[in-house]
Amino acid sequence: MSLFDAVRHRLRPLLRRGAFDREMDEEFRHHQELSTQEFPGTQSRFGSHVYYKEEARALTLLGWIDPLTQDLKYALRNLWRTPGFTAVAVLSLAIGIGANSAIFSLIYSILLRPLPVSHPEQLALVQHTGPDLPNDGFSYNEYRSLRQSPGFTAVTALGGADHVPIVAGAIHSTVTVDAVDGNFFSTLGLEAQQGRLITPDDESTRAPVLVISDGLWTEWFNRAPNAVGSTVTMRGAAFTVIGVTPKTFAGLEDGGQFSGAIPLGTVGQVGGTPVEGGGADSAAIEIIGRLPKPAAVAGVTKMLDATYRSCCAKGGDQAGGVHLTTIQHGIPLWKFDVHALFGRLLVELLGAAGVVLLAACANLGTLLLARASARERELAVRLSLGASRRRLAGQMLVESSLLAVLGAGAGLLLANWALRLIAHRLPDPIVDRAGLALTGEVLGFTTAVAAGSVLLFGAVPAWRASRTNLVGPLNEGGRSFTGRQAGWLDRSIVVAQVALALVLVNGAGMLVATLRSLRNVDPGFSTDHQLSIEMDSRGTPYERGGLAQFGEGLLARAGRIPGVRSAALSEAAPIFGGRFLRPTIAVPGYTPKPDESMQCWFDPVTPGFFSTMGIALRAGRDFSDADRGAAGVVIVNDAFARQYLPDRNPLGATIRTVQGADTQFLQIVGVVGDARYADLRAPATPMAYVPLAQFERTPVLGRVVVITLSVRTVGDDRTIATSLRNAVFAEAPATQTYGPETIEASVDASLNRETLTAEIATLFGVVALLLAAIGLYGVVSYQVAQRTREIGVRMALGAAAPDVVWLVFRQALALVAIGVLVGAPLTLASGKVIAAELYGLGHNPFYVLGAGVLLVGVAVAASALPARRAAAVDPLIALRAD
Amino acid sequence: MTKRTPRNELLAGTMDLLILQTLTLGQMHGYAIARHIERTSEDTLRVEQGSLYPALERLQAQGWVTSAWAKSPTGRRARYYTITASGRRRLGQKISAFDGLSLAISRVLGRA
Repeated sequence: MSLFDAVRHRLRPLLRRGAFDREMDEEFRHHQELSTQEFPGTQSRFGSHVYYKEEARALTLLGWIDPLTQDLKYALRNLWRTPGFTAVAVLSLAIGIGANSAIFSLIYSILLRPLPVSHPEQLALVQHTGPDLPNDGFSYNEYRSLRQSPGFTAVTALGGADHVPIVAGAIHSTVTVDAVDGNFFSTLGLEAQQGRLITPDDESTRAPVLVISDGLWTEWFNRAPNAVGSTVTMRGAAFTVIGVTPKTFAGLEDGGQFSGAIPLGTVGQVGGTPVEGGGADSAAIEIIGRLPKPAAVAGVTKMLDATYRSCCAKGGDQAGGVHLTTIQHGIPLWKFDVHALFGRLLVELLGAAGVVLLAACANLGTLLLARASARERELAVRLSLGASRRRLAGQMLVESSLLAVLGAGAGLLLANWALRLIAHRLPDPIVDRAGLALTGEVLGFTTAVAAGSVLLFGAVPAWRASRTNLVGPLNEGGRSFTGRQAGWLDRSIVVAQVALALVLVNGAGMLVATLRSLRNVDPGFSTDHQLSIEMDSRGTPYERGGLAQFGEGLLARAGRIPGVRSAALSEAAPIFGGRFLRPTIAVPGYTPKPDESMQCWFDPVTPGFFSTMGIALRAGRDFSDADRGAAGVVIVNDAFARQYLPDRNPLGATIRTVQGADTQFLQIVGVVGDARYADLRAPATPMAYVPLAQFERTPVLGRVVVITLSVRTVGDDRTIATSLRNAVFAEAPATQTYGPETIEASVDASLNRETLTAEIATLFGVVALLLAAIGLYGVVSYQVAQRTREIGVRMALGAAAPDVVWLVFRQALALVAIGVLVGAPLTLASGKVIAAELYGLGHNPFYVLGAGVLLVGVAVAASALPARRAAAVDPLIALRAD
Repeated sequence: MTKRTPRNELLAGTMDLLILQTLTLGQMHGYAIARHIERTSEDTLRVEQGSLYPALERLQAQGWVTSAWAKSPTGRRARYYTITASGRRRLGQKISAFDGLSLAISRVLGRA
């Protein structure tokens, strides 16, 4: 007989319970008959066959299941009978568990989820170790050489092209398309959900084929199966759609997006760097390899590095070699590293959610304790009738587990709802990639959290039940004269709740204050009556030039819109966004430190930009139309002057932009105030402004491909926004636009992360306060009930109503005072933990103090009702009661 | 609450030993097992149903014995018990343990 048989034997009565009983009866009867035949008159030997049956049943799972089903039925009945208690318990658990599930779901989708490919832990990205360009890719020649290197079990590569104009049926759009080698999808272990993916054959024949993402399939083809086989036009070249990637696949970049892929050899046709003729210097592709096992990364790095140095490194050591980065979670995006942006914040929020859950468990613990006290008599009766203490404790645990299951279920509903709200505050790439669904992993986490909370809040009442005193509760008059005080356990739980609430309320206060100080930061530009709209020429007819003329036409058109006081063009606008150029500069008289980067932000602007944006002109002059054909001029900000030209009059100084042998002299004609471009938190960085009109002939700065039109308005921004959009489309129907957006909306959007944090923290704080209030109310009213006789005696002896009220308040306030004392060091510690999220607060005890005062208020509110009840005690009735 | 622990560990253990030994003769139903033990012990050992059937249940739960319903010679349906391979191994262990115990007792009583 195998283990399986043994298990089946135990399960047998569960599956066929009636049969189990019948068979046992039959066996006993058979025995009895044979016995009577052989020894007539021996009936008595049978004894109580019911008892033996029980004994046999106890050996099977029934011995365990029977009492469990009884307990479960009993628990359900009990919860049903006290709907108020059940509602409060389930709701507080649901909030605690739901908060944890929602935040964990964010953490899992944003930080933990591995790439949805086979064995993502084996994937590694090849990168340069050279000093200069750590983010640069490789040329095709380098890829061909590295592909021959020993080490990886498979090597593949992807390049791509941005802003590719695409026509699919009636849809005109632009896409970012990846160009992948033929073995790309097989190396990742991906299979098409429709049609097929790109193969080595496609690569060798340079077949014009396109694989699209699930998103594009939905958006363009409405998930029609006949999408496969249809033809789309990209930059004029016809491509055939051959398949759709799996729904989960969102590209290899962490926080990136995947629209579609074409064979690497065809990338030249859509505007990418062609495989041939791109030159050995083109750094167009990224190389991905599969390691034999994750631990092999060091060895494989050595082999690849040796190959690279022998084939490709130019100028010996200086050019450096290569190293590997494992990309289990995806390739970090340049300038948008999701881990860096949200990693710490999310873990902190999970910590806060954990505190909320602790408070909820504590709350439930007190509620269950109070309930257990009320049921002391019932438990004592059951004990004296022969129930074992273990069984009583089990009964309590079953009740707690039932609450946890209900709470977890409601919590998941809450989490699902909360996630949808949170998604509005997160940057699009995250929401797109993460999907933010309640996945199996999240459900597992929720189950674990629920089980953990049963242990937390269920253990105490269970332990208490198993120690029920047999004599006391059964003796009606056995209560001592002063009555039993609420136990130290109840009181310490309430103290803990107060301390936890203090931590959360204090944290919420600091985060809300941070948001306020960020809103009060002087951004260096005016924050009202201003609209910006961005136009992207990439993938449009303006791409190859003519953007300047288009801009001037647009500027004239915008100036005629009623309500527009002034208008200006720039490549980027503060907070709104845009694109920057970062040439290297040299400032005569300034010696850079050894490691200092001399790259500087440049924003090409038209005359009137500073007055339109409300950026203060500190010295010198604004650009004018006369600058168009004149010598190179530049306007710098305060930070630039402080950094590079301290103790000098910046006006008239000449700076140089350097790129290789190319150099350009620019004379400083003005100094403006610091405008925060990217982030309200970061200190202002040096910036230089150059005339947009001079840009065409200063190739050293790069080409303008994005322009932003900003207008200063009077009147209703909404109607002006519509006119602005119409003006742009009248001037250039094909252009890609973003906006128009008011400057307030841009500032709001830049504070989304802080707003989300403050909102979640405030919600947590309010929940913790509510829980503390419920806990305080529970303990105080229990004390009042227990002390009714004592209060009656006091009143009979002359205590007035205010004395009795004070008696009750005093207890609540003492609990709060201890809680605040315990919580105060915790708030300091938590303040240190979230220091990275805070801004402009300094060391301010005000928040702790404020939170403390708030808790005292809560204590007073929570004990008001019990106090009134105490004051209304009629001494005669109280003394006669029992 | 049902009582689970047998009142006498030694007794229960001995009962298992006797049942397993009996079943080495072939498959038989509960009454036959009881009668065989009583007869071979010349009625010194009496097997109560109250100990027999729980013991059989326990042995099955351990996987040392299996059972199946079959027709008895009298034409009635009866549950027949069979010893399993692991049951035989267990029997060997139990016998040597018992031998050790009875030798030890005999030594104490000065008979060996």
